[in-house]
Amino acid sequence: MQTSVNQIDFLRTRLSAVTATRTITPVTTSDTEFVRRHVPSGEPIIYVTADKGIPDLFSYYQMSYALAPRNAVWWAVPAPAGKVADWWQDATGGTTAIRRLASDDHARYVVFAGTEIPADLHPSAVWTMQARFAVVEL
Amino acid sequence: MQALVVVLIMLGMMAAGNLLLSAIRLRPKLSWGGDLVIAFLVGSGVTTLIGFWVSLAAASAGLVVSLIASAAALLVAICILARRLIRRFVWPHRIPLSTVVATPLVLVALFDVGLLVAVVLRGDPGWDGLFVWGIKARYFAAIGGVPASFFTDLSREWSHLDYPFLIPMAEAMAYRVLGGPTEQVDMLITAGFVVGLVVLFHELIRNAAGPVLAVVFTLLLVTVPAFWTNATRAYADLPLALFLLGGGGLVASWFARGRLTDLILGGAILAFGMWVKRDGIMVWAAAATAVMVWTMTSSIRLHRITWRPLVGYLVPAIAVVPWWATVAGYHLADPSYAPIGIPWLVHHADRMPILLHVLADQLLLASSWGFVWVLVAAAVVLRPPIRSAPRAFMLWAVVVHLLSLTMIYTFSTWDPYMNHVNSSIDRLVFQVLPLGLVILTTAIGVDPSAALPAARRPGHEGLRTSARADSLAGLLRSLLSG
Repeated sequence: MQTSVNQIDFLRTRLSAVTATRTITPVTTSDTEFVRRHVPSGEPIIYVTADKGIPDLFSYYQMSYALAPRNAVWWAVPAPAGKVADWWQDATGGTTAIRRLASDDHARYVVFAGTEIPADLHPSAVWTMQARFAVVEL
Repeated sequence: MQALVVVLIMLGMMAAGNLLLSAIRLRPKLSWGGDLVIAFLVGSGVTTLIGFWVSLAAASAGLVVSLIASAAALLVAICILARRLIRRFVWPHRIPLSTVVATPLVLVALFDVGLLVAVVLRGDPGWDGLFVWGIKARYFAAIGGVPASFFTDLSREWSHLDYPFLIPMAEAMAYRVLGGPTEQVDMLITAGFVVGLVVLFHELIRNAAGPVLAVVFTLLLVTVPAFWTNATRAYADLPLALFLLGGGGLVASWFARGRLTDLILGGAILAFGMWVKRDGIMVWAAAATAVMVWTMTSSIRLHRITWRPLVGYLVPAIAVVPWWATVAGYHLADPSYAPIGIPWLVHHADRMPILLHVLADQLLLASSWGFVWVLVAAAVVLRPPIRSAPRAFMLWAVVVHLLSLTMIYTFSTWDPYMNHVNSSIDRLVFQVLPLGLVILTTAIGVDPSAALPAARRPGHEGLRTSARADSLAGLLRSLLSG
């Protein structure tokens, strides 16, 4: 598994909190349930986050985990990807880039996770708890 | 309910292994506890591999076939056990005093195992437990087996599509029976491997160095911090450590007593180690090299080719070939590593001294290992395994595994590559910790070549056999193994 030292530290911090409460990581969260409810089975998803940090990475892994094998989930971040462990696709350029990625990945659905939706895209569903999630059907 | 399902599935795997080993006359004959753990290792490998093979033909039928095989084996085992119990208790023999004395000790041991399981279940599957192993289990459980679409789902390439399936298949079997995935199952299965590791470790040392050192070293194992780090998350490293201990122990046993069945069984378990995690290939290859050298030297000495041990060791590895072939067929390669080649090695040769230094630092890291690796090194220096083939083999296997790590990271494509090292080296070192501790034990214990049951060595008939038959352990052994 490709995790950097910072990722490990993040996980340890997270898991120590989980262990303290003696519960298993809640991998099926309200976020994943929201997406499951609004994206049909078999439809690939472009999952857009604002950043490529550890919380974003974990959120993406969690979404992909929860939706396996129901939906393919591709990660998109407005940042260039070049290194081995950079699992995101570059979404720099707003709607144009997102549409290009969606076309490449045969995806009709885009999920915006805690990030602004471009003005020319219209969400079919929005859900807000800790962060704002929105599903857009292209 | 979850616990019951997981326990029944693991017992089914153990029963399948036990029946198979009995049928092909490959029983390890270590002790009743050791034999059951070996049976579990074989059974878990065989049932999950069968599921994978079936998946290649009919993806949705793989898990069902694995479950049917486990359930049928468990049913047969229950029938055999019930028949023996009825025979014993309908026409009871005199219960010896030692059995009565041993009963509370066995109950204490069972209570300790219960405590161990309770601590493991408080753990969390962790990052890799969910996103490398658990995600595969979810995939397989939803489909019913391993579909071709799994290998082509590049949206999940980060989860390592080329990693093997023993753990995910075992988890998926439980998910399938329970009607959906639940992460608690991952920890229950981990608990099974933890108990198996402790029991087999104890039994191997008891055979090699006696009951007192067995207790002392088992306590030493469970006081190593890295043991608990690995026991309380659903990674594949602890299960692999168990496979390497079982397979390595049996190959060492072949060097000690020359029973070809030990070598074949050891070869099978080390091959199944590769089915747990690819890192298992290092000890498998080290053992293959050792057997090859033995074959060459004995062939020269005897003036005839002694090919049977080498073939006997290599043949079980055929079981994992379909999986390797499938991965190769889909051209799945781990982007974390460059293709193995001389130009890359030469260009990155400067990493090797650094990596050796990092490895040494890791082995001396008291917060992870206490001082066990220092003790192992001291044992090797003070009592070098010059005249003991079993000890020399175990040392060879552990050293090859550890030094291979420096070679592996030399091919890392991470930038900086030290992030790659720091994120995983402790887990890779842990994989050979139990085998390393056996080296230490045999250095302290009596005769290193005693890594086999004394009852089966010439001149030792009777004493330990009768003592064990009079104990509750002996009673269980006779019931379970017949």
